[in-house]
Amino acid sequence: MSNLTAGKLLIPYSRLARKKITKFTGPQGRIDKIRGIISDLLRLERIEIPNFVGYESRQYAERLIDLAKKYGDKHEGMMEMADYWIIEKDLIPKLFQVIVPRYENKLGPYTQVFKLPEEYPGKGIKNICMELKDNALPPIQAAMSNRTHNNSLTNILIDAYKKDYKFRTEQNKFN
Amino acid sequence: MLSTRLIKAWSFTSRLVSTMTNTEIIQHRARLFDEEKSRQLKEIERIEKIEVIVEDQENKQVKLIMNKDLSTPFNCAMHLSEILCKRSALALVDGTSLWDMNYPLKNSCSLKFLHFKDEDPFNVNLAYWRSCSFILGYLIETAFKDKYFVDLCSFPPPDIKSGSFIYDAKLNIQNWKPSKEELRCLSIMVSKLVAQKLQFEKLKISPEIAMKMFKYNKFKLEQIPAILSIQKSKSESDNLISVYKLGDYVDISKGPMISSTEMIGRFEVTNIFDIETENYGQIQRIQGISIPAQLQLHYWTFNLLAERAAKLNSALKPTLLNQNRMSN
Repeated sequence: MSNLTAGKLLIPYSRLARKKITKFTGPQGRIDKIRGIISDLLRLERIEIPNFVGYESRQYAERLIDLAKKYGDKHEGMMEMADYWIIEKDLIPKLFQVIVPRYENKLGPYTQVFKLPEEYPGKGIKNICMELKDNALPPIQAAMSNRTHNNSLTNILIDAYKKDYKFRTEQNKFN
Repeated sequence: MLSTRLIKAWSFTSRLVSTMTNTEIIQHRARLFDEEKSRQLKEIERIEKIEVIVEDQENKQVKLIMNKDLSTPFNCAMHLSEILCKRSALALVDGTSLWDMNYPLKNSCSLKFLHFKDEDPFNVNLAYWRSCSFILGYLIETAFKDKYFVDLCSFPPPDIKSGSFIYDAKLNIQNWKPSKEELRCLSIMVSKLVAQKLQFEKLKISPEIAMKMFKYNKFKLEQIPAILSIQKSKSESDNLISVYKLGDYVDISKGPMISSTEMIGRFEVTNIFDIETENYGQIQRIQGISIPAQLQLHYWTFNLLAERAAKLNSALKPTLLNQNRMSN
């Protein structure tokens, strides 16, 4: 009955993006890297990684949690899958006893991503911050600045154009 | 007293106008500007030191020791970093008064640099719009060379929401309606200015020298006494007129302006209209639109804005009685 086989989580992802990870280590190296990141995410609940690995391993983490919710810890194929993708074995009970109950009544993405600024001077690597939702850490949104760019010269010009356009169209209606 | 001098100068110019060409007038103004600037520099006999507390790009406060009446905010930025030199358009002295980047500091003070991506770039935007009007004046006077004599009039205070900046001038060309290619030729002249990286220089001069400097321009001669009377009514202490120079071109403006032409991104002269005025008869209104190099905009959006800027701007027409316009 189990159509789950370890090592085959079907995730659609563009081949060009994959190439970046497989460049030096090959397909097996890529899988090892993703397994490491999933374990890190389950243990720390908030991590900072380069975006090209981050976005890809995010999808694997989402799928793993989805399947864990669906089959539970008494399913043979599911346990095999968890054993394959989670390197540090003490995290397997955490997945079923802590994280699955947390998202029991929730649909959709269980993780969220924030873009981080590029380091200057640096090598131009774009990093992201990835976290499991509803964790116990202090929230990121509170630390983010909520500044707007309404006062920049280009935005003032565009707003004035919009007002002018609305005024003109309303005039045409009456005529 | 000034008015009598004005009449003398007026009678003097009416004879000369027909013989002078545009380039000769530009050179005349630039020569007087340089002479006055070197004279003011010679007045400084002993170099005194001042303490300037500068806020750098990471909001840390740095203490610099600079020369009084010689070093400018731009020199202070040169001590800190290249980014500050390139991007900062204006300086804020003691948290209240705006200061040109290329105008020497008078006393020990605190400095903060302003740029186009600030949280509230209100003053920088106005300074940019004003300097673009100033550049339009430069274009008109240099573009026609000596073939057509040009009388520059004035430009209104900057209004960004109107969508275009303006310069009013008398072109002395009969029945001319510029084609698209002719306007594009004017716009291309700005890209040469940007490549030269010219700086806006500010100088405060006495009214006598100002009358001498603008003696071939009948509009400006009438404006100088009006500007002085407005300054008196606003009870500004010094009885001086501030003048700006870009390359060889000199014009009256209250300022402040941006630091150099390097900050200009896209610049387009959009249209030229004929307008009727009370004091000056029929003159031409030249309009344009521009965006600083620090801000990016898609060309599709820019073309929409340029379309709007090609319509007649309903800003105040130049009159001697209008105080708001003269104090610009």
